[in-house]
Amino acid sequence: MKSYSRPMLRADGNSTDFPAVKYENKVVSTSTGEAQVTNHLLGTDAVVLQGLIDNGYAEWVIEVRSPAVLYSKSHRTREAVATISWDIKETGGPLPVFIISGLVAVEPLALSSSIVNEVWKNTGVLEFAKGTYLARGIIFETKPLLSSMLEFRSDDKARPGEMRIEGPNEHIQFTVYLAQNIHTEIQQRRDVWISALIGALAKLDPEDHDPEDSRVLREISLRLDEKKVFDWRSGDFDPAAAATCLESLRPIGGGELE
Amino acid sequence: MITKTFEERVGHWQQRVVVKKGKESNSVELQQIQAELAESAREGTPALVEYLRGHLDIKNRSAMLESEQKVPLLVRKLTADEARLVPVELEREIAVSLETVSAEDAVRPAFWTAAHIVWAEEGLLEDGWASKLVGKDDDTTARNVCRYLGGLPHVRGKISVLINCPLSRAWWRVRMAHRIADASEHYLTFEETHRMLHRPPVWEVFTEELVRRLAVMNELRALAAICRLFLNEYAEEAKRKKVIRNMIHQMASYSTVVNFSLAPFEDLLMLCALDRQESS
Repeated sequence: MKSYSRPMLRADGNSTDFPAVKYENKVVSTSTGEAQVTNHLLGTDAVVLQGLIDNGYAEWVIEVRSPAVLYSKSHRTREAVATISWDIKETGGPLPVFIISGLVAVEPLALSSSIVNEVWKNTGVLEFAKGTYLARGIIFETKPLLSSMLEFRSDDKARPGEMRIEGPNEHIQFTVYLAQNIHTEIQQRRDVWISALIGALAKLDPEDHDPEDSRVLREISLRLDEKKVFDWRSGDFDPAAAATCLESLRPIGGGELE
Repeated sequence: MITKTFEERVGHWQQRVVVKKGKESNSVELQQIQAELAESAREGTPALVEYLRGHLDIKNRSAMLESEQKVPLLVRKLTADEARLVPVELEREIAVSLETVSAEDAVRPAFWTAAHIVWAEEGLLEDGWASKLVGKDDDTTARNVCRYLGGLPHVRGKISVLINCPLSRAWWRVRMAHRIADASEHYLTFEETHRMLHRPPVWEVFTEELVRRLAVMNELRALAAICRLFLNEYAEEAKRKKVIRNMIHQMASYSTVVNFSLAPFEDLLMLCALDRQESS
């Protein structure tokens, strides 16, 4: 039985197996089933791992996973920046999707132990079986648009039925404080979602909130444009019309096992 | 697609008729609501459908489904027993008749509730089906009705639609059997895989582990390797929840160092088979 235990580089920084290589992993996604995935190798020894990719021994493998619908699909690429897509009908519509990258040996390969940490050096040449990870990325969650935008919190001091909205912060996230009686029913309360969305959209400012600066703003603008509804940069912007247009993206709820 | 408003009505109705254990409720009101539901179930399938039409405010089918969409009809009329415990062959026939259903709809209990209403109205569910859902008391009956109509997510979690409703379970199980068999590099046929997933408690443990824990893998080739071992070397052990769970956890721990989509299938079989003594 071959061993898969080999040195591994980690994007979260929790490994010193390759002391002179750094791995940067980034995902920019939309809720329409597309993501741009960046896998950059940096540092003086990065050239060694990049050489494995260039010579066909290793590739970036990007897994799209949606556990709620038992979905998993892997994409392979040699490119440091790749755009991947998936069918959102297959991943359960507005359910969260997770994107996990890694550098994987696609052929059996040998690596000089000169670039790895001392603890691996007495092994001489390191052999990697096909399928072994050389680097592992971070688990990214692609949240549905409205989950990224609105965070609902219970406000103990609010009187029944009351709501107030704070934000947006730099990530264009609004905090919606709700009285306890409506917070417990939030998944079923379309009226509360709509009200929160109207309130949040009304706070967007044409001067301060440029779609170029934020994924959330870009997606809102795109969604409204698709439905021919004016966004906040237009004098004809109507927060209520925009909110009802975006409301179909509201995530569905679920409980825990009793 | 199911309409948002219908989905909300189903969710709201479920929360009224079934209260999660330990959660406060007006017990007198709850008893009355559950008694009304249980009474309609006792009377039979047409009475239960009439009850649902009233409580879910269904004037016509477009109140449940977005325009132009139709619930596919079942392959034939199901007896009460078949609709509760679907035999393996019938499960495949049902899945074929439902092949136009998308995962996006199939994950929603409200879609399956709409489907059961349509099937009952089309005479595809025996009149005695609803009365078979009657339990030892009205609370049990209310839970059974919700589970069998499409799952009870606010109590049982997201996996409810995959395991608690026999007809949605059939759809999901056949879909996964096809996918796992296709990923098995001819080590498994669809029929073998489906029979394996149909055998208790394999499907229940698979879904509980795979849906609940992100850290556990969903990679189809790894699941194929586990099914392959259950079919042969581990046929006896596969009847025990602990063994299935341990094998999935073992593969999950390997998934941090091995990419299952690329490792040779023979290696995956060996990774599953390790530590057999510990697993049992």
